[in-house]
Amino acid sequence: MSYYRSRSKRSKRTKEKSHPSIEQTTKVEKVSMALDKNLSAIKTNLGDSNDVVVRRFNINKDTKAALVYIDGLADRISLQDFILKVSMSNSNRTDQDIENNSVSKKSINYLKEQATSIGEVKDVTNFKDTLGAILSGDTAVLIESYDSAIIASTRGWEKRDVSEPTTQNVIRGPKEAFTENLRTNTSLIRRKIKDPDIRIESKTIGKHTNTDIAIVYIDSISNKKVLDEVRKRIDQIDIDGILESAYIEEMIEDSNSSPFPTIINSERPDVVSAALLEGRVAIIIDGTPFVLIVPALFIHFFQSPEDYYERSFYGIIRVLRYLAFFSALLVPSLYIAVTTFHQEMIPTTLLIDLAAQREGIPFPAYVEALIMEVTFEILREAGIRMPRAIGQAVSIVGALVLGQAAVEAGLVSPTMVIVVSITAISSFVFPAYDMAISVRILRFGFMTLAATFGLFGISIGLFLMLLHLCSLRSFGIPYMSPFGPVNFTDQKDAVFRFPRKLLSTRPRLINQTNTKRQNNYRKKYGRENS
Amino acid sequence: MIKEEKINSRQFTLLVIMFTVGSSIIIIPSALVNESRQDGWISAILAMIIGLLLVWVYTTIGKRYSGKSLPLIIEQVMGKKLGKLIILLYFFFSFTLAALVLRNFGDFLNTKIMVETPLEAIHIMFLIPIVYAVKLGIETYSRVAEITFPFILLLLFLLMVLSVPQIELTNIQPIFGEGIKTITGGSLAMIGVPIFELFILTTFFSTVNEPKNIKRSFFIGILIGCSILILITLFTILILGVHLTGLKMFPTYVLAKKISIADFLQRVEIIVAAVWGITLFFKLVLCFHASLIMFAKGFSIKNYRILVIPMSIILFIYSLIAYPNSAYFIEFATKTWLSFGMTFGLVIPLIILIISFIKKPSKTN
Repeated sequence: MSYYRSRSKRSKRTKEKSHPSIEQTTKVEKVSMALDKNLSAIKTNLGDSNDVVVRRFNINKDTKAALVYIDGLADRISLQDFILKVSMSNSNRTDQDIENNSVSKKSINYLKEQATSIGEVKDVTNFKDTLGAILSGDTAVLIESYDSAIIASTRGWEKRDVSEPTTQNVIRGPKEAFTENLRTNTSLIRRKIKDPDIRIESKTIGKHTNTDIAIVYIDSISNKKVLDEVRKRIDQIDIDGILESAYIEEMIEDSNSSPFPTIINSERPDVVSAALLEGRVAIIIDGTPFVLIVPALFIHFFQSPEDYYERSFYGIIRVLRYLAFFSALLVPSLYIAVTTFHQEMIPTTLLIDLAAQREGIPFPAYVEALIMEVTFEILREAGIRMPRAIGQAVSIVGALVLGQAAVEAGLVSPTMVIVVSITAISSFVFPAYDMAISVRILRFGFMTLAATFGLFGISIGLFLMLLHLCSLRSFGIPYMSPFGPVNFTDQKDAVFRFPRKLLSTRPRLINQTNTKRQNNYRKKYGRENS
Repeated sequence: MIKEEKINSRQFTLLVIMFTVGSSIIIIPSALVNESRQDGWISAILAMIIGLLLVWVYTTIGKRYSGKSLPLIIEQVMGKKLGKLIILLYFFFSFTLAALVLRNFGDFLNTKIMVETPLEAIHIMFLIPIVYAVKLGIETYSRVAEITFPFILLLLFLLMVLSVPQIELTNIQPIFGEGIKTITGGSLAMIGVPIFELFILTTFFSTVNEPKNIKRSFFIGILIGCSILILITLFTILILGVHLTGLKMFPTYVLAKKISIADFLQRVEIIVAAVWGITLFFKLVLCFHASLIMFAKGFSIKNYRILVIPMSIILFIYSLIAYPNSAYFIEFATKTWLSFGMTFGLVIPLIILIISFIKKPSKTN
């Protein structure tokens, strides 16, 4: 509660100065009647940037007009078409127009009609909005003695094609991923869900970047409380720029201090569509293929799209990911605890082996584990960032340093190498990379607890972690549901993915009103056949 | 403005189970067996029946003042001044219990698992999650109870299944061999330790979102909790025999030590330690939380949360000086605690119940 209060206070305080920079520099508020005045105002606001194109032309021979657009952001083909048609209109003018010798409503309408090659045309009287439109790739048509700018939607810039997802791969399932373009992304979702109930609310955030974002949901399914909360939190954002969805994520998530993510991201349209169908809300940010999905509960980070695309037996595999969560978190610390405190728990033969291995090692188990884990984390970081050409070199060094050489030099025990490998592989199992990050961080805490208090320390750590997890909420929904608070009907899609005939309702906690997902189709078939 | 926390009746049931099993599971067999020999498990059944009767008393009080927590009930029944005194006595009762439970745990770890670690360190470590839990509130830690409970059941099931091969039926014969008197005498041990203490849970009646279900969930909780204790007692007697069970301070732990399947699955006593640790954690949290609520009410402090850290430091010291050694504790638990518990778990509740019948509770507030 207090958190929200402080948030709203903060937003109130900054409201006065939160206007975008366009307005700060703009003295002119309205589009004026004089064309030259308008053009010079645009010039002063945009500076002498050479990508701003001002193209003067005449309508009805003597009415002055100008096109303003930014080269590279506006689509050239539709622009050319537009200009061509407008210039052709000169010959088509009627005698009446010549008599009037001024810009009439008719000719402006005619101009608008000629813009058939362009999707959307609207009048804007506000100068700030005109500038904003030009900066987002639209073209402004300014006409002498007409007090508004005609904004033609000519957005079209170089963009990447829809390609395969790079981070969230599946063996079976759609192979398309979101791109950096907001419109492409919304269209990808629309392609999947052809429902009139789908709603796309757009907002612009960032004083300098003026980034477009879209809140997407299905009106009849989504949870209105979550939706209101999303709107409220997004409206409170006040920042100079948004370059990735992570900016928004960090500013609207429930707890910044928690190592666990409460918002999930996906670059797969099918995952986002599935979330929308569960009643969740997606936030698409222009300029990044990673779409945010809220609310995101603990179980969502263990769900892979493949659970639903393979036959239901594959749903059992999900339990492996929970196991991997614990092994990525605890294997090194368990090793430390058992070898330093609880040797009696190891079967005697194994104990002798372990003792023999550790005989020549100069470090205690904790230091040994710490060295190896840190080395591995460094290697992993190097693996992400290194130029592709050096990749092999790093992997050779990694394999040698972490493996054979270190063991042969007597720096680490072979068991330790196995422990680190298990941890490493386990941390790659999660479908969501965010969860892997939190596990990586917590692992070191658990190792320290194990080194000081053994298994007791680990259990204390687990208690603290569980308490923290249970206290978390994601947009009002308890993070650990359906485990705590227990919801028995939602267990069908938690640890296991149950066969589809049992998945007849949507998760209850996310959407409490419209939960029916399907009729029992098996029963229907049975009746028809018999 | 603090949002009032609510738990549902299932979560309350789980808390009752945790409270009943916590700390008792590892010490109750020896206490029962010392009195009633091989019939200790029958004493446990008897204790459960008495427990059910007592719970009827507690829930009837709760029902007559529906949706109110214990301190408010006491204040309404006894009046402002006397009420405050009784509330503070209850604070003392639950705070002492918290200290004893903590010390129990420390003693166990210090003698069985971490012999070289100082008791103080263990206590501080264990207090950290407790302080955190009480700070977060009942809603959060009852969710943790929901998550951990399946694991507890699984571990107990494993423990019992694995120890089946070691059962010797002659250990519990002759049944009723010592006569009814020893059985009733033995049941006092269990009535004293978890049953009378259950009255502390009435503090949390106001947090249950469906007051009409409290009675049912309390009964189910105590049935399951006591059944676990009965089964554990039965298994310890069946496997260790009367003599060994009575001799050991932590017989359940010794029971787990005896498990050995195909010479590979050995030393599974950590199962018992885990079950005990989890349930004891909740008992301690509940006691500490209840005592803080009492203290806050007794001294008219609005929010108990500011008390958590200072009181935890006092609890830490209190747990260290609560008793000098284990022998003293056994003496205390079997002799003194019974009458102590009876005052707070039987006499005062009965007085409250009687007064509440005479003095009709006003419906307006």
